[in-house]
Amino acid sequence: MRRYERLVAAVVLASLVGGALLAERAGPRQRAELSPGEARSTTWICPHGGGGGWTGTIAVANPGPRPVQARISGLGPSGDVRPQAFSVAGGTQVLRPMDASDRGSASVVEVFGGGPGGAWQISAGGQDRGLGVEPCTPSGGTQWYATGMPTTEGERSFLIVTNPFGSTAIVDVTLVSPDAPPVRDPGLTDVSVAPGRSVALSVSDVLPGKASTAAVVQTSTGRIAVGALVVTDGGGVRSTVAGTSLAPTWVLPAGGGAGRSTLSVGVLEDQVVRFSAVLRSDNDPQPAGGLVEVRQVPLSAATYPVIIAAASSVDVLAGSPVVVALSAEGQGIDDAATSGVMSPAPSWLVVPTTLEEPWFPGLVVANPSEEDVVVALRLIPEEGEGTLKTTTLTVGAGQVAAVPAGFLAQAPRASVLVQASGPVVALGASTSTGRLGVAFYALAVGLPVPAWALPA
Amino acid sequence: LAAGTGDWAVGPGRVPAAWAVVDSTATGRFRVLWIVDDDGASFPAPGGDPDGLVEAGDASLRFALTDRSGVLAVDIGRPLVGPGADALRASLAEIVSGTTTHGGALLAPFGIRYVVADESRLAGSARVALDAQTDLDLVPSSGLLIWRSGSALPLAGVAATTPAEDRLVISTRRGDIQRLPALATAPLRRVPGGWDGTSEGGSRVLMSTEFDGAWQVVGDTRQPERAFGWATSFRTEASDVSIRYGAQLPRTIAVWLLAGFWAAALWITRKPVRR
Repeated sequence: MRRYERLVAAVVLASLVGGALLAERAGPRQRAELSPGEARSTTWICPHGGGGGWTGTIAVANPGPRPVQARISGLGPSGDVRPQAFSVAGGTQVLRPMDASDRGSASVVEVFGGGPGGAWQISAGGQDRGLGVEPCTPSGGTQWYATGMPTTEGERSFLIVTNPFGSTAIVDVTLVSPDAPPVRDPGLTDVSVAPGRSVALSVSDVLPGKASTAAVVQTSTGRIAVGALVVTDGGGVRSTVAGTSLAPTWVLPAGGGAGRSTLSVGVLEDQVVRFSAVLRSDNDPQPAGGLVEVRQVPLSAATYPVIIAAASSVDVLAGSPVVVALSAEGQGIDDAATSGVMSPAPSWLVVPTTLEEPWFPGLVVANPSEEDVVVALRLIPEEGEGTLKTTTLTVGAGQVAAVPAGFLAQAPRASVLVQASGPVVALGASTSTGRLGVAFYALAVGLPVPAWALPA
Repeated sequence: LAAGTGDWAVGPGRVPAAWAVVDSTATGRFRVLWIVDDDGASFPAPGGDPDGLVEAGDASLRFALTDRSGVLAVDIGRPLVGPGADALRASLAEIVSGTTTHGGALLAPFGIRYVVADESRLAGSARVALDAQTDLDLVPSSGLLIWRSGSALPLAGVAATTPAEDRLVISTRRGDIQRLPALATAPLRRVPGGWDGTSEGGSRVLMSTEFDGAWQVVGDTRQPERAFGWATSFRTEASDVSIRYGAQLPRTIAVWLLAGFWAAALWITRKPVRR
């Protein structure tokens, strides 16, 4: 081999070895982190139920500064209604009538370009009277939990099972009660819910005569969303959304009622649960209903009476995960219920809980933390209602405060954006309709608002 | 070799049984999006090798796009490039970023009916993001994660669109494209040189083919429009629709010329055999 050929070979070999050593030392290129996408959208499922002569309204509120696009679809046992698409200007809400003429009626709200979402109001008609308000749920799931469903005489309880997705869901329901083994009725097993359908499953028909029931609703295939609807003969509608998780701690604010309430606790796992309940108001916290280290047996549902103040919160602290609900007696014929929240947050969007005049809009803010919080409140009215005043209030550590009535009276059917300096829970609690404005009573916990959806 | 002879078989190291069941029940022509962690390995059969990358830190994904048959021998050495590939990468990035719940609508312009992943080779965050999509439904399967899109468009078809939906079709913003509802679309049939079919009352032709002004609707002089920023679309009132590519002859001549140059080069550089 000539000298230059040996030199070239040596240079090539040295380059290969050197390059390999450098590459090994440098390691693989670090992948860049993903930036937040430009295509923001959320989907809210509203398993509100209904009945013959009932009417429904979906509230879509936009707390952000820019307009968003929304699309609402109605679902029922026989299929969906053609979607309605519309815009929601920044800082406003839209109240859209929706079909609630069937016991299994439901709706789906899709929001594009912003957040957070929607909530439902259902007003009973025909032989039924009452108002149910609840925020829609942002997710479908394969397992849901609900409680607060009595089946004693005069009380009819239903599970509203909604499938807005593209594949059939096969649903199984297990019911528990205070004094009997869990029930898996053939009529609530392998229930097929077709895509775009929503059905009502009667709990009262399967487990009659119970002061309370709790349910595990799960799918062997497909996804669903679940709500609980209780209709009382002679007047009264309670409407709540089920949850996808059990939890050991719950916050259940309340207000605006007659003072008597019932805490429902569902133990849906095969273990004894000990729990306590704390009543918070504008005074020092105290045991709620005397509930201290209460023992509840596995796979059971039970109810506990609790007297609540005008603005209060019942905090449940359990040794193991449970599902809860709080139903409160109204000052008129109607009752109200909430399934509470697992954890506080700094920002909430509370939808209107009034129906029609005369009305007494109410909103309570619960502060379960150990420090005072300052809360800023802004009304989110329908477009064209003009500029409305904002306000702030301070909620003491461990206390609950009611928002001043005069602030809410500016727009009684407006949503309210609640922004706090610390984690809180906000809930709408209003009465409306009837001669004295107390015939209908509704409770609805707010929708947590992520930071990116807030106005600058 | 198996791809070239069309001889995939179910079993260990071959086509997973889950995919075989899905493939046998699905009708029509569609595309499949294969996704996997950025681990350097191939997809389960018949996905082949990854073509693209979505950078998302530790949750980075590699992806490939095939038709329902999976990767073919002719796909070897053919990279996924161009504005369509860029749009697909951006749409997949939107989905895994977790900010949208309408991933099926974002993937619809590509004719994607299924998204497939190996259950053991997909980052948890990507799995969560895909499960959260309203219009992607998990198909019951074992070993594979298979999501079916409820918004899938055919590879070519005629859709009955409203004016609002037309504005979404011609938009380039993914924030608009995600609002695309499940369109009632009459699929067109693939024929040599293009597509044929009936409009069934629709008036918006959609083709998941990169925009090229040479596409034409036979009997209509209107120029194609760019759809979704990269694809091809037409307005038509015809009940019978035929779409042909008008610049095939120059391409055919160019390919034959290239083949001739290669043959000449090989002949010129040949080495005589030593005897």
